Amino acid sequence: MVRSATGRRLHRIAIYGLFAVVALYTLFPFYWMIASSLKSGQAIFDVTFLPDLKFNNYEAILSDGVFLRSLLNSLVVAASVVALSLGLAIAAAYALGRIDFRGRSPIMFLFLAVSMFPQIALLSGLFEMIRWLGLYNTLGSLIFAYMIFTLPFNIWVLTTFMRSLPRQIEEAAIMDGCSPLRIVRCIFLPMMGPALISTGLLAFIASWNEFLFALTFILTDENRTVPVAIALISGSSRYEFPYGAIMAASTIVTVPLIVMALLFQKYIVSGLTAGAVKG
Amino acid sequence: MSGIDLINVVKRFGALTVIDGVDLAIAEGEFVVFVGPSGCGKSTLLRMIAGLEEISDGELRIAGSRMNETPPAKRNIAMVFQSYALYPHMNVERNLGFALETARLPAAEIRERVTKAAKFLKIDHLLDRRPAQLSGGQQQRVAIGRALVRQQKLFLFDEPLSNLDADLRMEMRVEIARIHREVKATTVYVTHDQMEAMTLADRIVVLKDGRIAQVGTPMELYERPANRFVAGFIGSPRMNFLPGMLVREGEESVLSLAGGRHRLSAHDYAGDVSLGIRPEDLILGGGEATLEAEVLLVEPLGGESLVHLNVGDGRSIVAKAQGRPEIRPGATTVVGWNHARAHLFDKDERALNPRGA
Repeated sequence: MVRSATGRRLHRIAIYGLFAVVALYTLFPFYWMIASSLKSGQAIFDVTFLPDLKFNNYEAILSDGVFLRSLLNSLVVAASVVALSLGLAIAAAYALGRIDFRGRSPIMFLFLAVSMFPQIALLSGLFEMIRWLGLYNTLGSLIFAYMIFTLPFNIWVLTTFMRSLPRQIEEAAIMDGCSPLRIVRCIFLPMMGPALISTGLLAFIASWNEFLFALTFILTDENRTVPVAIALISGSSRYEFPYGAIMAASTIVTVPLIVMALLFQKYIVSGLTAGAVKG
Repeated sequence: MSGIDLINVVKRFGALTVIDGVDLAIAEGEFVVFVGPSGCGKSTLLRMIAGLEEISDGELRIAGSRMNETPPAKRNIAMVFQSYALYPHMNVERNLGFALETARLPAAEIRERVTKAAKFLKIDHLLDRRPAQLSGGQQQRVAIGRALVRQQKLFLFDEPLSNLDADLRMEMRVEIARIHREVKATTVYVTHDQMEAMTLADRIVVLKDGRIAQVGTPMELYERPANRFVAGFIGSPRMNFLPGMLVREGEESVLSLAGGRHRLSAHDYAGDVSLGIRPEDLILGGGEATLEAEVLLVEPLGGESLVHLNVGDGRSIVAKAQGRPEIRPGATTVVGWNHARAHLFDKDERALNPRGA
């Protein structure tokens, strides 16, 4: 498009203006959280945009054994969910993407349907299953429950990705004498790196942040995960609500996610689009 | 012994029959090329030999034993794919050695075989590169090398050169011929390019609609095509066909074309025929039989020229002439041929031979 010099300048200003609005909209809550976490005592109720850089909220929260325990619990749950759901999803994706059998697409749609139910609808049924399996008030209950929403998504993404891998490579491996297991392990897995990283990361984030199941299936403090633990942080009296501590805890919980997202950002996009566009 | 026998082999996909009863015996050490237009079943037939497609009916024997139910890896076959199918995350050395690694050969032997194959294919300086860092021709060499290291008695090639540009294709064709000469493995090679078929094959199998149209040495197929399809498929530019009528007159047959009548030795057949003459067998200005023709276009190719002509009722034919003939488009000339170089096909497109021939 041909534009005059002023037209170009206006165009550029408009674009950067839009960027600024979007950035403000998405980043302000985070900024507010971090800024608030760095204020102490009553200062938190003053509307100042510059933080005080006082770290006593962090000192308080990091010396709280219950909070640290819940951080560890979250890590265990999220890592287990990622490992289990990737393992199962890879096996399922090989079958659904590479082997022709009757009823393949009904199964795919069933997975999609399962992931469409709202969490709250599954809650009471899942509760019964968890009690029946003897998992109530254990981390196992959460790992079990989170697989319900991470698995269908992982299977969908990995299946489409697996389908896009050239068939002749698989056939070459067959001619080279590979068993299906060896094909998946030595040929497909390395080629699927980006898809595995992006689905794994999304499963990690979903499990790390989940609140409703974590509130329902866990009874005691020592088994809680971080989102619930933060919600249950209480002040020294019932008239004091510890905003500062909550903000500090939230910041600590957000940091690993941001670090991971930055570390893997290049794979996330290529992993999610690789299955969508053929070639 | 590592010949291949196909006995009335059939392949069906649902109600669709893709390979319709193929009988073929391939001798040990022979280089056989399957050729045909797309959709003729040549690749399917190759994949059935490889074990990548199930055989619906009939029998496949390799070295005399039935192989229908044997998994691909146990058929002792090495295969080269059209897209090369290299493992993108492994370097050339691991690509070459992967099959041996899978077979749990000792590392020293894998190394030795890989080095030997790489040297043989002149890719020994590329061993630590990834496939993405190689040119098309180099990738092709790695793909062939991957088949070579397995030291099998049987090689299958599925259109290996069709992704290469013309220069490289020629170079690799020569290379494949050299490999066959030195390794002496029984080879089945699929292509749609009749030029590759002519230059590489000991015997060519021309396939059409899932059946064998003709099997023979390249020169047999060129000199004595069994039917009109093979006649048109082998040779470039393709054979010219003119419709005519064959009538018996005493001890002779008479062929009537739109531009004249020609006396031939006696044929048993009488009725509608087509006359086939290769461009290189047409003679400008002479021959035992001649037709009036109008010159449409002269395409000089350097050493020779293609002359497009209009004969009889506006049918156009192509003649190949040496050098650059002194004729201009629009001029009228005479084009002829010798009867020994002409082919006649009956209305079912089968080749006709004179009585007693």
